[in-house]
Amino acid sequence: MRVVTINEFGVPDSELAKQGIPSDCLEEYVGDAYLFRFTIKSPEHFFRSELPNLLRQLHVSIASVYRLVLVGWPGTGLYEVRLYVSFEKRSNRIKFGLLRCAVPSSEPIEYPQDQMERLLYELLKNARPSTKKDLARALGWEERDAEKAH
Amino acid sequence: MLRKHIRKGSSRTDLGCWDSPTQRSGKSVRLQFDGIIPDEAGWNDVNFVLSELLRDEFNPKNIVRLEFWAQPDRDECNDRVEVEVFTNGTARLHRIRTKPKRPEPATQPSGVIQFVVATERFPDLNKEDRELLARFDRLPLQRRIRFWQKHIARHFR
Repeated sequence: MRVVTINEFGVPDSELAKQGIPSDCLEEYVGDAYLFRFTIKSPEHFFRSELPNLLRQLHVSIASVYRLVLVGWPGTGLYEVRLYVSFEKRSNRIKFGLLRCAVPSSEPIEYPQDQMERLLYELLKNARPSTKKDLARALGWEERDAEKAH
Repeated sequence: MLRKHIRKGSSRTDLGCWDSPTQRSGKSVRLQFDGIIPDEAGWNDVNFVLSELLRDEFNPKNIVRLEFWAQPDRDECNDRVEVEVFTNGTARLHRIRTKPKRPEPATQPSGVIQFVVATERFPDLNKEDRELLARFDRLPLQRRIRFWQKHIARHFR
């Protein structure tokens, strides 16, 4: 499938001229799109390891993913994936067979900066020593609990 | 910076499953956010937002659809996310707690500008606090969310 992305679609010439953009200089993106369909064991493992590995194998960045759909059933979680990737220039080095290889689950070198981390950071910056002590103690219990469950 | 917000189009619909191993019927809540990209942090943020909105009603196993799509004319960080999650109860939407309850401590006197050279993540935390943050990050996602709900959320409004 060919994907054509037209930026500034439907913007009158007069408005473009106001912004100093000649209408014949508009950016457009034309690419070949691939739809990948597969099932996953867990969304955590997919986002942490499998998706980055898949993008590495395709020699593209996350910006080339223009649509990603995960579906599942209530009580079982997300398991089916439809991933749409567009290539402006597809690499000849892609070996689709390699995409089947299992990616071992591993601890990341650096954890992603997500909202919970940012908020805990904000809290720690201004928290009283007693609050930090309480959090450290509760975290210890949670870690022991996680270890037992593992 | 929390740029995600719930759109007006968010809706609740009845959902029934017949062929699922876990046959259920109930409500599904459909929500839209902006500014989340499809990566590990984005997945964590979706779970965090849902757990805040639905509180005890949220179970990640009940997410039935998650869709990311890039919006033309926008940069790559402006992906739109649509998520549909099954709930057993009334699916009341709660507030997302992101503002600290405790007032900020006194800042630098006016006229003084403090420059911080960022050589590592969280340069303004001491070693113990950085270790605490790292231990929190190492917990599995659902335990992090539970820990947030039980021990951290009370410090935010």
